[in-house]
Amino acid sequence: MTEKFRTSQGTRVDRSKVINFTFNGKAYRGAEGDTLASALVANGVHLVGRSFKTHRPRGILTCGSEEPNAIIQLETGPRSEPNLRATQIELYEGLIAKSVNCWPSVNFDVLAVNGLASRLFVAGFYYKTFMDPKSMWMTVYEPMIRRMAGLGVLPREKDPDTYDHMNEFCEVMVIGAGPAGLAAALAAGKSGARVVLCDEQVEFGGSLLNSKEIIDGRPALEWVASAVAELEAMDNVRLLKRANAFGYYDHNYITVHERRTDHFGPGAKPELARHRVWHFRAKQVVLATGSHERPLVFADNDRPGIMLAASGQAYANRYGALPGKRGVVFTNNDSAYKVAIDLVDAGMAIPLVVDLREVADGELPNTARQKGIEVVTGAGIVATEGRKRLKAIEIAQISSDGEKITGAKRRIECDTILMSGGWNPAVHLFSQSIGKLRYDEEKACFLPNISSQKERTVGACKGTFDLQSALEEGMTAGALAAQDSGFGKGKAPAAPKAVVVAEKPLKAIWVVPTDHPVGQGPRKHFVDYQHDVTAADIMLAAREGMHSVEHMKRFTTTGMATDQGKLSNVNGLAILSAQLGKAIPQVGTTTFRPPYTPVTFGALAGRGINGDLADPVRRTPMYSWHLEHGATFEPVGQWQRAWYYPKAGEDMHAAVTRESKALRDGVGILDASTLGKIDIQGKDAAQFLNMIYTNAWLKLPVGSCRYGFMLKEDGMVFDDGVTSRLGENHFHMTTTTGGAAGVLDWLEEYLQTEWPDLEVYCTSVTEEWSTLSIGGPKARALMEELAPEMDFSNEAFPFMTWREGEVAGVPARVFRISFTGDLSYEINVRNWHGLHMWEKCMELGAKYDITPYGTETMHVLRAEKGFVIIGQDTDGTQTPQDLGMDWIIAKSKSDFIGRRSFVREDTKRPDRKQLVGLMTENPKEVLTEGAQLTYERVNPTPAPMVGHVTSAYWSPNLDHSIAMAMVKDGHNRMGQWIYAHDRGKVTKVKIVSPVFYDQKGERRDG
Amino acid sequence: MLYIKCPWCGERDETEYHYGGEAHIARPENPDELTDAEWAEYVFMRTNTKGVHRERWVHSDGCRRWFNVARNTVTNEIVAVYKAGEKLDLPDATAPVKAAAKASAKSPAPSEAKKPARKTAADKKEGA
Amino acid sequence: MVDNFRRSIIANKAEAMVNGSVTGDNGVVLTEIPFLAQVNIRGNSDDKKFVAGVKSVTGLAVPTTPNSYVTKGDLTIFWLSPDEWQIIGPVDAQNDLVAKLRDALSGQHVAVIDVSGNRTTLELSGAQARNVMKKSCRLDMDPQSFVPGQVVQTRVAKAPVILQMLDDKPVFRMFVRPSFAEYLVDWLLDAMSEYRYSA
Repeated sequence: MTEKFRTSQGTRVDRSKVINFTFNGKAYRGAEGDTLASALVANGVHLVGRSFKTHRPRGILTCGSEEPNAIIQLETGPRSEPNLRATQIELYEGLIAKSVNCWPSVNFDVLAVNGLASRLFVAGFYYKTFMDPKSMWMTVYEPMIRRMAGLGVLPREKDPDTYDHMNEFCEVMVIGAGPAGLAAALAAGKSGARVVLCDEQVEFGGSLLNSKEIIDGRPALEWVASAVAELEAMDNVRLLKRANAFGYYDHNYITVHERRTDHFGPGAKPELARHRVWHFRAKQVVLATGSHERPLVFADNDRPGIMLAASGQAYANRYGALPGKRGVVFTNNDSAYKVAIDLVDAGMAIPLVVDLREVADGELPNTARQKGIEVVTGAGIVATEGRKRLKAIEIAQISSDGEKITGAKRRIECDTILMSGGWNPAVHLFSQSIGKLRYDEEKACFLPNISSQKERTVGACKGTFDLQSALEEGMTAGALAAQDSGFGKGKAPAAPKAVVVAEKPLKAIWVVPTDHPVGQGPRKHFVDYQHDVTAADIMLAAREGMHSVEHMKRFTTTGMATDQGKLSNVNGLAILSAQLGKAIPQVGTTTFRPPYTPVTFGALAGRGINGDLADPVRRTPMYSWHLEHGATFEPVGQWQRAWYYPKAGEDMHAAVTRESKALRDGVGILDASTLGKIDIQGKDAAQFLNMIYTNAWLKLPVGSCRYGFMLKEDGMVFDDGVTSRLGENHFHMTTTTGGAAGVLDWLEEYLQTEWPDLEVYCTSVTEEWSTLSIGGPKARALMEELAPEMDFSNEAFPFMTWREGEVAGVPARVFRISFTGDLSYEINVRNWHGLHMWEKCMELGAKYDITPYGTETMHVLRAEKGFVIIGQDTDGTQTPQDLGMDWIIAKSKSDFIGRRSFVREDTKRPDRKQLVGLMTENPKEVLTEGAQLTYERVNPTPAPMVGHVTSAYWSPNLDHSIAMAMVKDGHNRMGQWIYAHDRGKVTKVKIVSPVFYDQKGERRDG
Repeated sequence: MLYIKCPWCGERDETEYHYGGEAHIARPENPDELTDAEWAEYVFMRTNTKGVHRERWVHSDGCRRWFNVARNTVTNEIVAVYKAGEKLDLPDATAPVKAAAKASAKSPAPSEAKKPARKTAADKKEGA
Repeated sequence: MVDNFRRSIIANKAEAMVNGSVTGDNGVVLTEIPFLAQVNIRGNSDDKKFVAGVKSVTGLAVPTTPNSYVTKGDLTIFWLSPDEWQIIGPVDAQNDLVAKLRDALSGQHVAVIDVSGNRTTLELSGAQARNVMKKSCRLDMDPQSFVPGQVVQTRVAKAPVILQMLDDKPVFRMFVRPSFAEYLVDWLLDAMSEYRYSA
């Protein structure tokens, strides 16, 4: 296949370097420097896809990231990627691409039948059609919509590429490397400040790459080359190409998506991260993001061969690829005349410019006329022909208000339309930065108005469309941004001199009329090409009451496709405004949100893409032992805790049953290292504890331990733990595993803001100590072997005390506290001795058949004793009284955090939900945690809910299922039968004391 | 993501901090003397400022200091940061005013003076 | 006395760190320095008695500039907060340091806590070390911004660390809680992998 539309004039392609590629199964040739789109244009291929709803044939519309039609599935296999824009894919040898939105092929699309039924696919179609029955949503409607919409295919295989993130800081961040951006970077760079210049394109130059401007008497691209060379020579300047600034967040935080290896072809550079997301914090930002040409909304404006004017110019000038043989320019402004002139110079036939304005007497229209181009003013294109390629158009004079055709139609054969409806500044990033926009009537577009961050806009992005002014603005903004960040004196270097041709104002006609009222005949006026939204859809939305632009957007889905409405937003809201009889500024724009263009999930995930680096896994010093001994792990926050240790052939139930019995009958060992630990010192430490715990601490003897509740000021329990007195002014506090960090912040808040006079220091020592809990009737015998120097008798080492000594040859603190109800010792040793201690316990405990147990058995054993777990049995709405633990409140204290709330009306209510135990009628039936409770078996609708199950287990030691629950008025209802509900199943349960086992507490002393 | 200047450690990403809610709400010295309504005011009621909001943050991953931030809730602009116990004079606490955004340890802000119950102990110490 | 009972929590990663390191002029090397003595001190640096007490034991005045450290001989003191410092010393120095400090500061409102087990130490060095840090940390790691003499508490990847810049080679030390150590090593080795090709 030859490149029939290739000329010798492309400035950025090297025709001598042939690149072979495949598109929709057919082989083609392109040239080095081509994009997939430019290579297709050079081959005369314009039909590249089918529209989203009605599957109309669609062609290449643009040459940049705003492309709504040429949406491509690139490559096959694990590196296949959907929904890429052909206009941004750099050609490489062997590239394989296909259109995403057609089945079975772009030339024969079965679903094009939807086009015949397109009256069904009006705005709000999805909402109106796919409502009921709900059961069909996931099973029928959604797969059907997806199939019809056909947005590409995700590979099933694991992504073989790597991705990374880089964090950088700079003084001046310049986004967009067109003329204004290059000027800004030059000016800022000269100050010595750290400058970053990034651009989504393959090379710098922006719009200058596409046009034939003259700067300093030379082709503009020569100035670009010298500017880039000057920037490259500056050590303080970082240049990023193929780098799309996609998000502008608070405090000048900007994310940039750099495609590092895609242009080499899939897998060509395995050593490099394929994509990189740069995270920049910039002191000052210069937005030079340029502008997008706006399509004209006219009858059947979506046929392949219809293209934005400046994009056609770019294909000819930059890539040497003519958009067609014979084209008509359709415009409402002067800029498209440059396109006509350039295309004629490139060898394309441009017989006609159709101008919506009554008068076109500027310098550019006159030059066009001199080139022999006919200019028809006060006219519009009112119809088009051709299915897979434009064949002909009809033009007619239209009324000056743009409402109707006033003259006879004239038919002209052509294969290309180059349209220009004016220019929309790319205010996306400015708007993301919370900058406020204003509508400019003369330019008929939204412009940046009030900045919210330390940022400046320059060039076309600011509505400055003439080149000289853009260069000057860039220089000035670059110098001032550098100065504001502490570099240079703010003096702008002289801008180069561009040749500027004055342009006359445009005339906005938002919908070009046809020979029938819009929406009533067969012809369609497309506004959002990618989502198939027409002017008629927007008018319908307005009639159905969608008067807010946000409602219209969601109702019609305008701007909600992957192109985010870069081409459609302003046209859409202008049509809405006209329909509502309001001015455009009164209707306003929708919110611009990141990303500016789609970013791959891999890039966002970065190094975390394989999962194991996505979030920290915290391991205790004994983790390797647990792993080697077959433990199953349970995540507790970021911690991985041993859950249970199944032996060969055991399931979870069997393992937990064995572990639970082993502790009650012999001795068990638990890794409790994850508990939070805080060292508290100072002469006011006891007084401080008195305020933050509900019970009394002043008289706790040195060497003793006490269990305490912490409340928030609303009187609700938020953490618990045992705190031990190490010295007169020295305590060792433990917290829950999950609460450790929050408790420390909370303690510090009171110390630093409420009671700064208290002499107390709190320091986290969670990981200084590794903790092993040895429990069961044989625990004492084992401890005596581990620490022969220490006295473990009840008299010398009673319950709720701690002792210091040498255990298994290393220094240790041993706490006699119990979360199982059985005799129990918690050995604390320095982190790096944890594994040694564990192995020694296993070695010496072998003769007692010591059994390692995990968190599941711990939960069962504590539930047998009715001990609460904060966060499982509580949810921040329980007072100590609700938990049946009035005893933990010191009546002698006049104040502690949360105390005052106990006498609030709601808190002292007698019928609050209270913690109780539940026994099932059938002893073998284990309730479901979260099951809702009712007093009656049969209930009216809605059922009066009286509580829920918080913990439920099989208790091997009681040979009965047990549960804990919060039940309304539960403490007064001991012995009553109530009902637990689990997805239709009703279970009769009896309210009992939550202490199921050893109610007299005889086991704790061994 | 906010970029917050810890008064000690300097500017750090928001992820290093935890938010602590509205600042300058002091714990009453004698809770028992308050009515239920007054106590509820302290425990539950907060302003919902559109404009400059004074709030507490703690540099959890850094120096673990609690401090105050005056942040415009519309733009997220941080007007000032100041240490616990320090005062911030803002002529109009609801408007983003940059020029006056300087921490001062001398006079309480007008809005503070009207609500003596809304000063922390640390504020009291500095004010004394 | 040699402690035969202690084990680094990332002893299992030693080989991976050797294999993952890139030697040469453009390389980057990751190693663990386990069991360093670490002593946390709380006190009031405006109190001359406190400063003198610490100095009598360490030879160093506690630094009062945020994010800085001071070094003399084999002892280093990190600034951690306005009233908190951490002494880093050689392996096994902690018992002696704690005893002498408690003695020198007795009667004052201070806390002297042995936290030698609370963190282990990773060292990242070599020409690409700054780039690895930039991939991993949200601070300004440019040479003009992060320099020897600085120590900060921040996050590297998602692990809280004390990050010290030891010298300009550059050499970074990360004091990380043991529970995060294996995750952090895995993260850093992954971030270093790119430089195996360019070294």
